Amino acid sequence: MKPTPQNFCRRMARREFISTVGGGFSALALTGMLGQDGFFNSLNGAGHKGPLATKDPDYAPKAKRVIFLFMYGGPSHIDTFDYKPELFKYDGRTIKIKTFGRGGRKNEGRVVGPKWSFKRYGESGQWVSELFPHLATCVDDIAFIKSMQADSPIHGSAMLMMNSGSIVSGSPSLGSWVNYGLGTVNQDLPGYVVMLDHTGGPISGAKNWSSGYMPANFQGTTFKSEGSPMLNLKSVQGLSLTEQQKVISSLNHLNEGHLKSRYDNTNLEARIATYELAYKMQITAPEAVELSQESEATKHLYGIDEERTREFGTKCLLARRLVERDVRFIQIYSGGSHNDSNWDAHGDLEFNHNKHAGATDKPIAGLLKDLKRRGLLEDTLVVWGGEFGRQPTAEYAKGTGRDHNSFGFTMWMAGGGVKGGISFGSTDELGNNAVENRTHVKKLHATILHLLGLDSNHLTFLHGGLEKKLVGVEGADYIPEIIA
Amino acid sequence: MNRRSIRLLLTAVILFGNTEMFAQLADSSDHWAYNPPAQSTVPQVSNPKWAKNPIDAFVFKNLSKQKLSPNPEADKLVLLRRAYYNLTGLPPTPEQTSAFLQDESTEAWERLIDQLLDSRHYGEKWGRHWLDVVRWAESNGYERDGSKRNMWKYRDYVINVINRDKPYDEFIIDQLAGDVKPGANIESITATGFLHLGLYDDEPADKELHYFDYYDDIINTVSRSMLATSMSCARCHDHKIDPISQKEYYQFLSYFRNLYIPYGGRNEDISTVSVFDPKEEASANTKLNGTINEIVNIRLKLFEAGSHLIDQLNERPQKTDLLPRNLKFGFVMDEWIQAHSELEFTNFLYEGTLADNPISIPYDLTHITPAKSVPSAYAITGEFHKPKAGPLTFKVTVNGGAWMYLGNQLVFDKKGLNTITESFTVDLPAGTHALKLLFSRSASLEFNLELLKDDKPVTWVSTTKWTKSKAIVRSLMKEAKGPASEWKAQFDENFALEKQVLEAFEPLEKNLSESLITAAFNSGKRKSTHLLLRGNPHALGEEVQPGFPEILENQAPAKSCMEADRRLQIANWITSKENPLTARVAVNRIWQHHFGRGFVRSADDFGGLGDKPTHPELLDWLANEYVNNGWQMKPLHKLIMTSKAYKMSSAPNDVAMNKDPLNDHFWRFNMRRLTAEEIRDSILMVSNHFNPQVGGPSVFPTLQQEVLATASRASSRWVLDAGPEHQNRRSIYTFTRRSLLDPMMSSFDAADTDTSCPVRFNTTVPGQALTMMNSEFVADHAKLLADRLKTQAPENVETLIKTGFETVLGRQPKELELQISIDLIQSMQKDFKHGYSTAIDRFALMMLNLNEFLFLD
Repeated sequence: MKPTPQNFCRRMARREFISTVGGGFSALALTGMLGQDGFFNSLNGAGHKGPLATKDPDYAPKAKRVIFLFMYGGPSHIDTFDYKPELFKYDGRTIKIKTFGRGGRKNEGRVVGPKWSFKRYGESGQWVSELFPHLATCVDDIAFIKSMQADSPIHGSAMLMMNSGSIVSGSPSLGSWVNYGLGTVNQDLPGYVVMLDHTGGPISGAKNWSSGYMPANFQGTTFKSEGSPMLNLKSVQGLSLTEQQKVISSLNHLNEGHLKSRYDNTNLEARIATYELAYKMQITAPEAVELSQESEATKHLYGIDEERTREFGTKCLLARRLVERDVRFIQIYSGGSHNDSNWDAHGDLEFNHNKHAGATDKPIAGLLKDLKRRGLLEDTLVVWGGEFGRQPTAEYAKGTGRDHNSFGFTMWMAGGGVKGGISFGSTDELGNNAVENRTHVKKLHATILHLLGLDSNHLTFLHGGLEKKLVGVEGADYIPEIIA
Repeated sequence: MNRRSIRLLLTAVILFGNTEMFAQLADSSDHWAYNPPAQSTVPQVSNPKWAKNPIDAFVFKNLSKQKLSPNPEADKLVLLRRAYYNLTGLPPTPEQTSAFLQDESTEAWERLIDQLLDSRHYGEKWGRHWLDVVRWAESNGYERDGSKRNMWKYRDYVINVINRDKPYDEFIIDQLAGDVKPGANIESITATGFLHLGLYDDEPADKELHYFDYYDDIINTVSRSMLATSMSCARCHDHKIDPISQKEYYQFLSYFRNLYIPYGGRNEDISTVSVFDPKEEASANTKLNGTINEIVNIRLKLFEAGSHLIDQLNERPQKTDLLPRNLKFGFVMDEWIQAHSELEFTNFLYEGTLADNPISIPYDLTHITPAKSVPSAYAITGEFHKPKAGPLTFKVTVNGGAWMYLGNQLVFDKKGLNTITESFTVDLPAGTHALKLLFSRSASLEFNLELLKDDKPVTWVSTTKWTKSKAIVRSLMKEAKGPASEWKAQFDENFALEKQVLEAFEPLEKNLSESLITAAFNSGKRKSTHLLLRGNPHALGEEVQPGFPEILENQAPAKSCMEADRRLQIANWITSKENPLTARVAVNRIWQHHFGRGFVRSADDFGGLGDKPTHPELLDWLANEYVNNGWQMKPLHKLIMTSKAYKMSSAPNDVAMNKDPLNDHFWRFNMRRLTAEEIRDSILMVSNHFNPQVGGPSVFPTLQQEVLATASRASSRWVLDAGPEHQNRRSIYTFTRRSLLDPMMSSFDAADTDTSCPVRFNTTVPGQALTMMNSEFVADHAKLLADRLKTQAPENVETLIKTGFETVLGRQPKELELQISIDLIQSMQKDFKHGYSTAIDRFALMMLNLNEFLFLD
């Protein structure tokens, strides 16, 4: 390892500080910091490893990668997985109940009974509503967390909380932390991929996959399922790959001449190496999204042959292909833009949830089954949920629409070392508040990091004089009960 | 050792269980940064060449002590490019390069520096350094990410005053207290935009938390950018490392406690004020207010006449016992929320009558100005006759504030920014009951009141758009006949008048829109400040009084000016000569942007977790110089840039690298990569499409479709500016929207927008190579560069390549470089069957990707 005098960030000094203080900090964060400082290790003599080079976890991981299925807008837990028989009975009655959503704090409301019936499924007998007939067949692989809580019932801040652990903008997102902590195995593909809904990005756009106060190389890369998958992957001047190779080889030749009298500058060397990686990425990334390599049966499994499941199914299948190529963190958005283009069912709950559950049920079930039969589910963690749930009462005088609810909602995880066929925590009899085993979003984050072999209370990044953590100053513990 | 140190020591032990840390912190109250800069004297050095400039004396002495020899002077071209980028962020043109290289005079270098310091691009380059530390952005963040459309005036303020070399102490006072300082003017008020540059959640889940997050953002930015102290770490508990207690955090906060902080409003343009030149302010305001009053008055007359005309023209008048009667209304231009309980109809702009019909209120009578938010309120009185005793059920939908009295009973009382629908039932005896309705909102109003009779709604009041309600009357007047002439005359007369006055208003409106500034102002009465337990805004601890951190207080001015504005007090304290941090932090930053790193590498943290200065004496000497010479940057730039230390080559030296691999002692100059902005601006320069215009509203250059697709509503987030003049402005003028940043900028480590960025990251990743090879921007400009070369050197390929090297790198190609370039161009023609023109495009693309283009020696 050669020192790099070109780096003036204070992190250079951090390294010395850490070695002085020792045990209080994990070696992991140290590796991360060295990475940012541009200390490129020579790897097999064939180039450089960048800041995203693989790093060892804190302890043996159960999961190696994550697929986060983000149900943007806030799916109703009480119409999907959190079965509340009492709620059916109260349908239409106005009751005293404390709620807090977009419409502010209210002390009473008209109950909207769940609009779908529930049944028990699998050997474990998990409750699932009619909205998810396909997913219902996978419940023995799923751990439901039915006592989720978040700090805000407003989309903007709640999205940031679910993605970055804080309601205040500016913190790195979960995928950034994972890549910061573990690096990426596949250097030819981004380590953190985000796939957006065809209707558009979620509110706050790129802030949801931002690297916040970390360098931009830890931010998510948006991936498209059609056309060229990534930004700037194809030359707009129409250079073919072989032609580009020629340009790069001339470029390298000149750059090597420039390097001769500046032989100590590893940034120059590293920059030469990035052209090789960029070149490879142009071959690897389009190949990764080449779905023609998949059988009709597989496409059918994901619902790609049906109009309403085609979009999301394609993204789920893409996620599996990226997982096979060791992409560390993949996030897929169900829903985009505003209003009923996502799960934000303020007006007509039935219309909204039939639409979005209909578009995602078969693809998600297909993904779980496909991962399982290929032996990938063991070390791939699948996370499902939105930024919050919905209220048991109606938002308006008429209609079935529900306002936001961050007091209690459901998320689920599957694979990656999670126990299957269990439900953890619960809400009150109307599904309004989490009452048993309350699970704050930070706990969910801690659990995800834990499954990846990272200790959320020790994964830190120095910013503004503070060792910042995904789980905040106070820290958070993972949920041992749902870990296999 | 005082008690504070003991507490800190305990913290250290608890936190780290580490005795070394213990030892480090043992003398925290004697920490270098909290003591005033030493009056260091310029050392005597043996080498006369290194004795001329005081900076050199300090640097050389240090090097000698380490037995290191300084690198020789860099060659002229290297120095030229170093100076151009350092002071303007732009490369020299080939003409500027040859002029300088040919100038053999001894003053050539000094002349160059003077010339660059006078360049208007100097303020853009050094202004950008300041924008980095003040979390510069032009939008609020969060769901709507609304624009701060006037924020560019702050950016221009920064550029202009840096170009003018306004003293740094005044620069700081402007930004913290420019609205309340003696001699406040448009410029200093514009500077207070600093306080509102941060994030603004227009839909916060918790009001108090919203306020304290806003304060914290200010404290964090002020303390890190001006004092290199991480105050925010003490928000929830005493600072774990530095001698800042939680109480002191809240004392610091109390200086900002009375600052107006926007809450809940979803308007764009938070905290916007209209400021005129004092000479014209009085007359402009009078004229403006007069005209607005006039227009609203006319509209109210139209509204009144319209109500009666509808009653008389309508063929099916909805006369019914279920409607209130004898209606009167009053209108006031004020945010009339507190007044509702008094129910005194005083100070109305207008009082009129309404016909006994469902009332249709135009909510936007005051939507005349670009501010669009002249607050207004209606009051309506009348009576309702109830033949039999019994319950009445109403349904109200409201967005804004609304109060309803029936009899003397307050039957509805709501104020909020979200639409609320509520039904309620009132028991009333038989007879006639007084009705009073009041509603107000600062922006627009939504109000619907229905009486439910046998489950059928009868509308009493609804809101409409002004243009719509006017049009209804107009169309009715055309069709029906025999209207009451009095109302018709009133309507006709005012209809014509409205048009006239609106036309006359146009220049005023323009004037007003130009006068809008995002700026600070104080709100209302002085609020108390409490320590918040664990930082929780709902858990008030003891009340605290304004006070500066104790560790720095000895050096602080007496708190004699308690009557003065608190923001001015803290600004004066920060910029007092006795503050041990301010000048050091400032000169450290100046040094950082000349040499690539500050004496203290952690430019925003001079505390216990920060780095120690590598050259404490020089830092102190420069800090004293800076203050003694009136806090001006330009003389300091010149002093630094005329030093031998600055002019050293960046070449490696194995002996020195072994001894001092990190160049702690400045034995050579540090190489650096261009910043994101410099890369983009340089490409514009070499393609010859650089638009040199300084200042003005921000521009929206093309963003790729993939990037726009990440926004939930791209059309409202990025309104593309047509025309190359907007496309090719310097990067500092691109609109900075927090949720939609140019990926090329982010990829090359542009500053974070959400918190202060003291030192930019320096990453090297494949995404950058993809951008430089494939992106539309680089590819387009490579082609433009190729076109430029083809025009300038049409003769033959060798001349063209030579011109290419001169244009992009400022030098002639070496023989081997020429051969490599020829080979590329030939291969494009031979192997890839391209014409000459396309082959040159490829050559130009390669040139823009050269390390030599992106790195400075």
